[in-house]
Amino acid sequence: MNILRHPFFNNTSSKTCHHNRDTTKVICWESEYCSDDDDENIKHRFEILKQNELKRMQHGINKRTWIKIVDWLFEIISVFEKKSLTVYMAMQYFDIYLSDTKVRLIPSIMNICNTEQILLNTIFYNNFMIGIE
Amino acid sequence: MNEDELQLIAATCLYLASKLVDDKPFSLFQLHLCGDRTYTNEEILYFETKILNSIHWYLSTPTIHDFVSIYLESTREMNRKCFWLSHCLAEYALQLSLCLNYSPSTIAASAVALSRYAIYNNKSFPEDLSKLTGYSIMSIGPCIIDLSTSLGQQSSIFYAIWNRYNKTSRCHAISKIGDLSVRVDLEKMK
Repeated sequence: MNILRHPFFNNTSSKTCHHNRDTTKVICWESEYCSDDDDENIKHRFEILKQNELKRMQHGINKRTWIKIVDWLFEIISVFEKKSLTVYMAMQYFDIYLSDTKVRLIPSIMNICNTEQILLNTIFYNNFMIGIE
Repeated sequence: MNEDELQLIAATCLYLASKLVDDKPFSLFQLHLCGDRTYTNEEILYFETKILNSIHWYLSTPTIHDFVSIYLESTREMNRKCFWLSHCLAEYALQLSLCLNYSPSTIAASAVALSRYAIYNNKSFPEDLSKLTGYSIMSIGPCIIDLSTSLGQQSSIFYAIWNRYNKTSRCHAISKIGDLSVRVDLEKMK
């Protein structure tokens, strides 16, 4: 399960520390999770996740642009066979960054590549550009 | 800021997240190709530092995906279609900007409840899940309604998710979306 790969639950004995965005204090805890996931263990993991979740997103960009960007990121991870968790995390960073910078957007054309274009770009580069370089 | 700069920021965020999550992260060059060469590797690296400072290097934020995984684990979900449909709905929710109104744990609970409703038609929010999360069907009701309504209105524009979940390996989970957008009854879901 992907959840087991989450940095919160790494099975090393070292302490995991990270920065809490809201309270700007450093939280530390000891990893104490074992491989057999009984109900108590799941509940404990849930509580840690719940305590650390960011309540709501606040990005100020319009719905159409957001949909296009998320769609593009899912397209990329499908082409390169990456985990979907990558997109969720990327969009969290994206939201925090945008809400911090408080930008005003000027509409322009985004070069959103679909699967075929990404593959074509990659094939073109691998077959021709490497030889030229 | 131009919209094309947003694309560069999104690509940089993906680059950062991939380093944390994937066994083999994206290379700068792969992301350069994905943006049709509109931005350079140097620009990605420049924004990487800016974003890291902006998020205070707090990279391990719990996401909707984490909550969906833990809920499915707690309900010991064995039905593969239900498993994939939950993830599919969670991806829809991310794309629909539901995160503006609800927390990740609420959205994840709604995605799991809706998928169980689509597959089993009752017991969509079992007692185990209610005990674990502290939520009930009624408390997550507004999120469920928002999610199912949005599915009906905009299902035609989500190309990537449609392609990802219209595969045999993912039990064609997308085929159940149409049902959910027209027949959600919270009373029945209890």
